[in-house]
Amino acid sequence: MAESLLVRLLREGRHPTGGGVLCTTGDCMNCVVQADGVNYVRSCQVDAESVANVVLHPADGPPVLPEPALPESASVSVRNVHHDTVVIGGGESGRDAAAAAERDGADVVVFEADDGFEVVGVFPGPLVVVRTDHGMVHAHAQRVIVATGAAPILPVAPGAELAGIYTPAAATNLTAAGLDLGRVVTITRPPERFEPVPPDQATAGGEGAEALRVGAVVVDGERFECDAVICDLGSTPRNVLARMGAGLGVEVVGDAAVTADPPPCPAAGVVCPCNDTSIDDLRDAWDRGFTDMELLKRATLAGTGTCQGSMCSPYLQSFILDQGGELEPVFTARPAARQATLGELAAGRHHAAVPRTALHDEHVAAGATMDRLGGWWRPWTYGDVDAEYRAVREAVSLGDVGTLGKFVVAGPDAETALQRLFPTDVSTIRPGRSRYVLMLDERGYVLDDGMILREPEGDRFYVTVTSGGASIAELWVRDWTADLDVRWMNVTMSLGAINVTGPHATELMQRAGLLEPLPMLRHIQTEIAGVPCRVVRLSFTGEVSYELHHPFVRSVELWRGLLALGADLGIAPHGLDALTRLRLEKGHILVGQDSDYDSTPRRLQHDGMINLDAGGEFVGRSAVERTNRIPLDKMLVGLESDGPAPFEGAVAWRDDGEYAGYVTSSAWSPTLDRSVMLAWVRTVDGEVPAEVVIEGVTARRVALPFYDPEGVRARG
Amino acid sequence: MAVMVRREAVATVRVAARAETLDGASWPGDATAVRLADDEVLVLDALETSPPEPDAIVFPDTGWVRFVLTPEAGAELMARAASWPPPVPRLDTDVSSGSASALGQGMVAGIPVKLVVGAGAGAGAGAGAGAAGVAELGSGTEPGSVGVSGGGGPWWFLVPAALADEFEGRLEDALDGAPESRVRGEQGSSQQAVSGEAME
Repeated sequence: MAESLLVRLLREGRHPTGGGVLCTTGDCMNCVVQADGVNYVRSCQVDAESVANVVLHPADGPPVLPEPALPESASVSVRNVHHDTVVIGGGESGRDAAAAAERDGADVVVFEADDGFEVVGVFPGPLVVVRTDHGMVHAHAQRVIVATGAAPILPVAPGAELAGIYTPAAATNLTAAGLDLGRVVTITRPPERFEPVPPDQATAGGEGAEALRVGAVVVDGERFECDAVICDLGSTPRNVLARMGAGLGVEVVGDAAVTADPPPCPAAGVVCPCNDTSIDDLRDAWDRGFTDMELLKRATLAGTGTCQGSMCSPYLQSFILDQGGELEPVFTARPAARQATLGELAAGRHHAAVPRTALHDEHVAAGATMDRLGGWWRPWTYGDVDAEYRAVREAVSLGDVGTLGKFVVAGPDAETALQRLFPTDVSTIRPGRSRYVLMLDERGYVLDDGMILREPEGDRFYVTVTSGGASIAELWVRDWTADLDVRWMNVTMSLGAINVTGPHATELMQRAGLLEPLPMLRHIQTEIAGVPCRVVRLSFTGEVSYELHHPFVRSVELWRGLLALGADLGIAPHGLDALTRLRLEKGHILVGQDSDYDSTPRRLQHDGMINLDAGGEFVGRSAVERTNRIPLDKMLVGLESDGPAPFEGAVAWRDDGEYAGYVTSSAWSPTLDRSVMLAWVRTVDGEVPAEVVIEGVTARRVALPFYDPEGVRARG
Repeated sequence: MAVMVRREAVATVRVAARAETLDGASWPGDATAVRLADDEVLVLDALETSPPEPDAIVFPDTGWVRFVLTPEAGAELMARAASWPPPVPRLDTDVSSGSASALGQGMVAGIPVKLVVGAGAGAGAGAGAGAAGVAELGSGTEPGSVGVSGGGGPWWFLVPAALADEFEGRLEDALDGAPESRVRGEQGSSQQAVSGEAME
């Protein structure tokens, strides 16, 4: 660059931060400015011509926010590159390391800060993150070599915050840039103190800061008047990236790898400029028992700042030695090694993508409010939840259940695999039949629920799980059956599914091609409205229902065909808002909403679904047997009240004022003309209270389900 | 940069079987078969295939969308939106077929993708031996491997149809939304009726 921003500022008589030693090698923090709205920019590393607006940091306190508003930031681009070897540092040792790697046949890249490639951090992979003027570079490597050389040891003494103090490199660079440093004193031993220019000669400094200049330096009791002090106190490994990558197999070469002797321990002064930690602070911590490197770091925050110990670690080492301790290696360093904007750190990251069912555009066209539920975009309502509810209870309705997890299971051990995973006797599920099942974890807690369908040929199965649970379920089932001769295929995103539900569902299905009645929990393969479907007779809403699982690409065709066929039946789609009320009236739980991490089937009142008599071993069996012998402490129960439906999460209180539990699901039931709830309620002397108070209203415990207890409507 | 991005529905068949069975299996002549895992193959541009063993799962799958890019655009997309290197095609064991293809699987712009490089014309054509025409599991899932775009044929980015719209938007963003990078093909083309095949 023609001229650094630092040189430009000094030429104008302005010290960027009001004082402190300047290095011009990117090691100190005393030249940082706000450049074009970005704070903590090292002005010694920036071309003066590239910055339009500069605001100096105050001498004390945090930097100001940009005015008039935060700068508009475009997204930062990232480029992923892949190399065998990444060398950080283009000096002599870096060039030698790169050449050696190339001779070994490696594909090598060298990142040198002076060339515009500033390494921000080293991450597991290993991944080297680099900032350039044109965006970020993410360098993925097999081997990372740090060759970042050595940094000057910066002075620690009272008065080190004055302007006019330089490292040898800074003095050289600034003089070469044409700056006149005045009367210069070079010291090679730690100073006792720097003294400011006498008050009658002091001049005010730059914007917002009084840049008091150095007027003299005292070394070994001798005072030297000067305009500038060059502190040649030796060097320390510039090893922040090496420390960051210590657990990642990063190699270190050259001066960055040298184990340097620490400087003499200063008597006074600020050791850690990042956190303003002084020698006195270290002594205080030491006296309180924080007597090693890690403890001193945590007690005083020395080394936790933006330079990650680059400036202060030599003095922390010397302090410990001075106190009689042993020389300790410096602590690790955390990313980022250089200031980076949030945009730079976020470059290359993406929000988790939320999948859409094949019917997404149909829902939007129908006026649905879409929301992300269970990891999918789903229709919450089409604008009139009461109408949607009535369509299910009184006519016929379609629901998009394409989000259900779906698996095909085959192989000689398919039945054995399912027997291991589900607490039911799978052998009693006959061909063409299905069963609602729970999936338990090893502690006997409910992990998921779903359906097992046995295919007509008998040796294959089709399994469904909750929406959003398919990926976890796949990991789970594969892990638990890896020793078996079974094949799993996750077809969740390969199939759509539509639920046809309501008193007129059977008539609609007949019109669509289901000519023979399908009894409850049976399933067949047939064409519905010209689309090949697996038709499953079940009920989640409490009305006659058929689930139609079909090829993803035929979903719209099927949806539109059913809507057309049912036009005179009062057909209308329903969203999740209506569905959650409908299923609540039937007391059907939603795993993850009504169940908790410690929900046993017994606590959920679902112990009837656990078959301990079949004799087979299933995941969670021993835990179920053990917990069955423990008195119940709480249960998920049905509650009803005459007041408005409380919010989900509302606290339930006993009539003696003690905490009783909380509501998991709640809705006003138009059919029952009262509020219905599922709630966790603690037992008292082994019994669940008959009444609790929720939001000031008495709620009565009732048996489940609330609606159609005999299941007449579901069976049709 | 010449960018050709085409979005299209793709007929596929997924096959799950024992690894040793799949090692020796053969696939429809005009199709491209990619080995997703030891026990699963995805056969592209096929409506059906014979079960390689009695216990195999053979599942005609209409839930995929293919984004076809030039090699240049594909490599650029990977550089901008994926932390893993593109797979490196290698010469097929059946030298006479002249096909060289590779598969990589991983996140591209935050979306799970199967990338087939060097597939298309000739891939699998006239395949006799089981390995011929089968894109081997590439290095895409292993970090740090060298990625060199290879093969002159287009790159196929296979995406679940449920995420295709999202991927299309991110792809255009990643390629800077240049006019040439606008995706061609029917929006929601995954809704085209591919076949009337019954499931399984």
